[in-house]
Amino acid sequence: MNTNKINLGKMTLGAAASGSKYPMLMLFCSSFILGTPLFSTAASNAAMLHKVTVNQVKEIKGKVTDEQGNPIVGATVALVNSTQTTSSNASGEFILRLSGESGSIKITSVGYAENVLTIKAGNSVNVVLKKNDQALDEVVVIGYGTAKRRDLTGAVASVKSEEIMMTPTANVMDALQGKVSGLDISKSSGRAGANVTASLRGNRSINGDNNPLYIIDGIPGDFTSLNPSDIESIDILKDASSTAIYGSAGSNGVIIITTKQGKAGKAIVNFDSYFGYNGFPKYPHGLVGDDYMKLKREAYRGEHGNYPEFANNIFKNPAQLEAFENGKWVDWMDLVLKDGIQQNYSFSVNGGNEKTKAFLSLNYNDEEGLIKNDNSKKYAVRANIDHKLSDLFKVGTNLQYTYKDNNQAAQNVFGNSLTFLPLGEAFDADGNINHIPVDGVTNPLSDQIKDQYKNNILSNYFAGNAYLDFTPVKGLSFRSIFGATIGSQRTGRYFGMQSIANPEAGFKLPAAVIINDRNYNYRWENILNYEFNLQEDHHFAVTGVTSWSKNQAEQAYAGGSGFDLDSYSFHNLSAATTSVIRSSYIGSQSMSYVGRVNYNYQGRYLLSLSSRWDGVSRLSAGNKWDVFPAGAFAWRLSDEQFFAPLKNKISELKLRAGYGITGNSGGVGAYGTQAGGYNAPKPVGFGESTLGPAFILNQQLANKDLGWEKSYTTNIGLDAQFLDRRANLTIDWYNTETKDLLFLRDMPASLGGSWGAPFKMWQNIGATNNRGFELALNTKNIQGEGFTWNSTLTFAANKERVTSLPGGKDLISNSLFLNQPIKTFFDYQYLGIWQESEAEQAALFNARPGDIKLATDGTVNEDGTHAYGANDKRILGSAVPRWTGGFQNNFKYHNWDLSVFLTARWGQMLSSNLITRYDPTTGVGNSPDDIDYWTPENPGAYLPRPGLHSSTSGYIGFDALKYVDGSYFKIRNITLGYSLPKTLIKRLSMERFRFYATANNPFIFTKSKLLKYQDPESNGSDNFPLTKQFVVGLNVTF
Amino acid sequence: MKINYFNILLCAGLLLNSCSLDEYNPSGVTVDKVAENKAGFDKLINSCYFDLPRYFYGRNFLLVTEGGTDLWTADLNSNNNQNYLKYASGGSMSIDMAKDYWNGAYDAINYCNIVIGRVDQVKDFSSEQEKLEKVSEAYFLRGLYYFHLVEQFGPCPLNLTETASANTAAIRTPVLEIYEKCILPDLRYAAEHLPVGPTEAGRPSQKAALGLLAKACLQTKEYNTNQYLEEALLAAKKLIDNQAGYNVRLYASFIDNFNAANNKKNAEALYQIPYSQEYGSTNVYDHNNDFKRFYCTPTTFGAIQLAGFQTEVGRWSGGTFMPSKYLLDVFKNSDNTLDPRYGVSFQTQWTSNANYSWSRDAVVQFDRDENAVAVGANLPKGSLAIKIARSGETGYAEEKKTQFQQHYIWLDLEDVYGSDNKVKMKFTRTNQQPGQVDNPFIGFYPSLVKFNSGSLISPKANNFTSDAYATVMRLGEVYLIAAEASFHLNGANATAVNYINVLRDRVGARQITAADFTAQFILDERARELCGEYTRWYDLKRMGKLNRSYLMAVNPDVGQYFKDGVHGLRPIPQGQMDAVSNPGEFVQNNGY
Repeated sequence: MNTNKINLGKMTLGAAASGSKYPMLMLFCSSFILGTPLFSTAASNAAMLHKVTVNQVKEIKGKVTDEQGNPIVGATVALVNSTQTTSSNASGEFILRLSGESGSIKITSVGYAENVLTIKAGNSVNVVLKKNDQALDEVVVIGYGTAKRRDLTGAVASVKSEEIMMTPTANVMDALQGKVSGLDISKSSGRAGANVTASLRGNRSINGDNNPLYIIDGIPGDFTSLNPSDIESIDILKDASSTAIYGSAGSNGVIIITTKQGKAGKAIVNFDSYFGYNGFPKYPHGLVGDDYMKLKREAYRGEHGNYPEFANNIFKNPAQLEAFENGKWVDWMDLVLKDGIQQNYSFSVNGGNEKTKAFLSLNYNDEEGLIKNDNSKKYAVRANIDHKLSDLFKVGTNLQYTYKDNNQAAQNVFGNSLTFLPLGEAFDADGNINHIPVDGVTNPLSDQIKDQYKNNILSNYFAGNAYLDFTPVKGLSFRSIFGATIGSQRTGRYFGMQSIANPEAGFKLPAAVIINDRNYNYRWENILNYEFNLQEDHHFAVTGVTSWSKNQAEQAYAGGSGFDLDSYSFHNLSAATTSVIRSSYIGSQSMSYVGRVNYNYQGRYLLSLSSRWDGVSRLSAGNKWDVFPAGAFAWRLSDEQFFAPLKNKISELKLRAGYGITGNSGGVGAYGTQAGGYNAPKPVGFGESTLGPAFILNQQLANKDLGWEKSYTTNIGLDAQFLDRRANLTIDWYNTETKDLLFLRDMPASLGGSWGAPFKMWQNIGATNNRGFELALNTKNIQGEGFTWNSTLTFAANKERVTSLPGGKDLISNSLFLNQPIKTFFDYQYLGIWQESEAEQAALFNARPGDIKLATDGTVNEDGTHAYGANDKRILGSAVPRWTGGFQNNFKYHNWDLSVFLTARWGQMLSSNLITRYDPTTGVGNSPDDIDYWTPENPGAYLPRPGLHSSTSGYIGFDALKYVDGSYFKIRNITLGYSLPKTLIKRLSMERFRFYATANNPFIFTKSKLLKYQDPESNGSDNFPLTKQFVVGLNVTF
Repeated sequence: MKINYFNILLCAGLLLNSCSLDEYNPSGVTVDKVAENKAGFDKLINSCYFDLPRYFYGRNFLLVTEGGTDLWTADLNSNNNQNYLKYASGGSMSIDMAKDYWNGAYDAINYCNIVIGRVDQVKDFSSEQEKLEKVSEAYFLRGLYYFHLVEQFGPCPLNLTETASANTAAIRTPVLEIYEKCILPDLRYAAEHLPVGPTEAGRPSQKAALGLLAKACLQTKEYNTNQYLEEALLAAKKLIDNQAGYNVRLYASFIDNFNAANNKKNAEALYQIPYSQEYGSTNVYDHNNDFKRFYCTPTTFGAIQLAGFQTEVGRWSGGTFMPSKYLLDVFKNSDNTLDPRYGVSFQTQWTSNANYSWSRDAVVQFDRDENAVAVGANLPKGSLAIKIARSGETGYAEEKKTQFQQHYIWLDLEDVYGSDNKVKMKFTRTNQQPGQVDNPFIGFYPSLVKFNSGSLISPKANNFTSDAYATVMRLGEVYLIAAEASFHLNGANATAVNYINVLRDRVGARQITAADFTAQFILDERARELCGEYTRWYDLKRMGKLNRSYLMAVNPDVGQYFKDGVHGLRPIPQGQMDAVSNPGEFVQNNGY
């Protein structure tokens, strides 16, 4: 059956090798001349077999096993100097036909070192493949194809399934934190189901998108819907020579996620589960009792110069005074926080035969958040199936369906619990929540009163693609893939009269809204790959792609207020006395063409050239199309003759250099080039019952000349392997110039605007630069019999700068400064606290001892005074870390495994809202319990004296308190696992049985002492603190 | 072009009807489309009103029209709202302190320009008159917005056409030029073409335009011209002389202006901005908040309990503005009697709403004479709890003698205000633990009740707002404008005196003569009649009194922080400064 193809292929390739300029053409011509239909059926192939096999043919049987003697399924067995290949079956066996007396075969299989053997006709062979730990032969997924790591010309990092599974989490990117140099991942919220932010090699765009492009099984998709245990590998394309093939979407890097595919052979059943406990957040409580009174008495003293004589000097509200006199203190945070629980169950089956392979999985994930009403449930199903129709055709599909049920508690619960008066009766005699625990205070728990608050999001996500592979001859493959992602989401919210959440904008309580979102994105891609050699040494791989996509989003919004019963929740909008309805549609299309040539000479000199032509609907006519070219060159020095003497020291050495242009498609939504407006959601009122519908202009002014934002990236890299192949090192240096930023430029307010805010306009203006260095080092420190120790170190330093801005000047109101990173903090600078000995000098600054001492611009009035003002503000720092790193250590001792993972982010500043939750006024508002404030008796404190100012909003420089060095490192994860001995589990017909215990986030070390009660990863947020997690889990394979 | 050819081929292959890169936008509407017919055009006209209740009258507008003047200091003479009430207490002003007014006004002006520029595109007006009436609303509002812009910020960019392109260069047109090119012509146009009325609530009629025209013409005096004073007088006279014709009248009683019953459809109002419980561009939690501005803190005394308080109009505890000594003194006539408007404009007495028994603390705090008020002494619910007295009132001298023997708090204005025109921060106790202590009476001051009308809305626990209409101008002020214009033109004269006397006659105050008539008298009279009515800051500017020496003399708690040459104009918001492409030409106001 194979013979037909072999002969045909041989002839054509021969023709190609003999110098034809058009190998493809020749292929088709020859097949036509021979009368061999290219699309022949299996039956006719079989019939042809006899005609062609004229020589005497000898069959050779063999078996492929691993070092333990287990059969290797699907290994490729190729006859050298022939085009004949086959693969091993479920028991590892294969059959080849030899036309001479002897020959040699090459056996390859992913994960194993290749093996070349000489065979003799009539003999059967047993081939043992050794596990390959050479990263170089690893297959890396690149845009629209795959490549061996040894052949890469660009900067690509890969993460495999096992490393992802190391962190038990429902969010795959969470598991990648610190594992890829240059990929800065952080999580800012401890909300159930919270997402992470990821940026690769800094931020390039000011108003556009800085998120990488996520490609899941070839099609852009939503990674948060994925089940991490379904993932086979994640490949991160970092430099432009790799990402330019994604053209206008490639400038922020591309993260390619490949899910597990079915494998032929015995069915493998996997069961993974874990159960965990979330809690112990680093987070302060509010002050209570004497601590609270001390602050309030000091505040009074700060204002009046003497301590208050009477309790009613502090508690102006008689009811509050009474609660104080009766000692009714409440620690709101205690009542609000509970311990969260996380559980996850994944079940998968992987199996099939030579023709049909399938991977099926089910997943259930349940996360209970830190407060009641905050939880997230996720159900996911995946089916990846492929089927070989014939030697020429293969079809397949990847299907995923995810259903999420998410309840979100209002985030103001945390701030309220820290700042509300800690007095009153939180519960009534029957244990029900008291809405008003004391006059003038609303219970921070109010949303937990029955039927008072609901914010529920149900989402369905379907991602599916189907493909047809056509491989007419060796080296040539064509794939047509059609993919769709269809999402629908229902958001339902209800706010009762007693709810404390910030209600839906524009509604009077009680209010309910129901929002239905539906988005459907289609994409159709055709990919042609052709690999061929010219005169053995010249290897070519040519790729051509067409891609078409259409994205549509619809929304229906309905809301109402004035319900007579809370029990309706958002399910009976017709009971509303007033209602709002609206709907919208957003659509966009794009079309792209891609071409790429990869060439190498003897595997030593590698060249890659690619170009993509992109057209999108949302840019202006005339600017819709653009081209994104890239090129890269790599040189494997270690393959050179002159390198031979060094070879035993440095086994592999490759230099890479690449340059490319990529675009940024994010940020500008559809219709950014169209003018217009919409009906005001609520009419203007002309009296109690006369409504005046109004028209609101879009805040964005139309720009008829809008084009692409482009990044021009140079990447120079080095890959090395040394220390007896025990260390792998990758180093990259890059420089990215991003020009013609998609900049949402503020127009002068005097031109008008929308909702009282000035117009904005998307313009191609401004530029940024990112320059950095990355290092990844994998080492096998100890490779003993029973004990192994492997480490991975990643390090990345990036310098991000804004190099050009509209008008050529700093934009203070947008916090944008030339030569500074995009996220720069500009404010007064805290120098300390004016001490009593400095009273005279402080007075010159309109300040008193205990006030904040601020840096000034140095100017002094004639009378020697200086009023702190806008000119004193300065650049304080940036939210962008100077460097990030990760250090992973994996130990194995017989059946035990231990991994310890550290991450670090260093040099960034954070603006801690928790610090400025300190209330220095004489009001009754509360403050966090970790505060240290100045009094004449406590002159070393960080925070200013209470009572000097009546409000924090009018307190010049108060915000200067919150900027602190956010540098930290944390032990992100410690996992200890134990696998039952093979001999034992074999009897239970299991392959593997492992339990483990993981501590996530157990230790955090901050540079700044002020962050003692904060997890700096949350960037100073005063909502939903990040938690520590303690998880126990189980992996079973049958 | 080769690519497009490919594209077509590919699409044909796909049998998809469109691979076009054109945008399909069914839910978007352009202004062109909306302005095609009357129904759509009406929406554009309504948009001109969008920012008025959102940022101006009824919102925080009192802070920039009454704050920082001779009339008020901050509540408890604190540093609350110090940017507005105390010129940042000697510190630097927030550069964005007046951003809402700048951004809001220009936002609305663009809609006015759209309406004015496109009125001829509308084909289905029933008559030419309908068209003129409609477009006049936009003229009126544009005049109003520019009036506030120039008075707050000085020279401003003058845009009279719809914004169609991103012209980021801006030029500051001199104030008088804006009056001459926009404010005055717009208001004249509106005064001619608006309907006489009555109109829907919130829509201007001719009286509104005439009143504002008179006010704007008079205000040009600030810019050293007398050219428009005749016109001010003329416009004012039109209204005064033909009140029935313009659907307006003076209430027989001064206080009727501020009664809840008269709040909506106010007969004396020339123009009102409606707030409704259902409609409007503001969040329903935050409608008209003027009623929260002027109340003292009676709950400092335990007989006034908070429970239920906040739901009663006028019983808010703790406001923003505290009257200055000058404001309270201005009601005192030369013969030591009080102008009757004092009694009706301010609340000075409170009754207890709980059975109260004097605690040890309170006896000491309020310095009771223990022979008369022992610990445990009772003050029954419903009896007089606080009374603020002043000389000139009946019984004052008698009651003062027993000030510290009463079961209720009786305080003299002199306990709160010193002869230096400052608020007294300290008090010297004599009966209990003698010595100087924090003034326990500072929380009790006469509280302006002009805004205690309209119904309170409590859309959320501990959250109150009001749906009272905000009055932009009332006929009473037109008499004062007429008098002032006449005075500037002809000096103290009988006509001017007569206009003033109409208002004084209404409240039963002593009639004045030309001999009483001075510039300061007009300012004083305006304080008596109009305090708290969104006008004082402009009055001081017009009369040349918004300066350090005047404010130091009458209201030193505020005046000490006033910088001449700086604080007479607000800072241009930072966003505007950043966004303009000609920063060398478009400069910030002096001192910011």
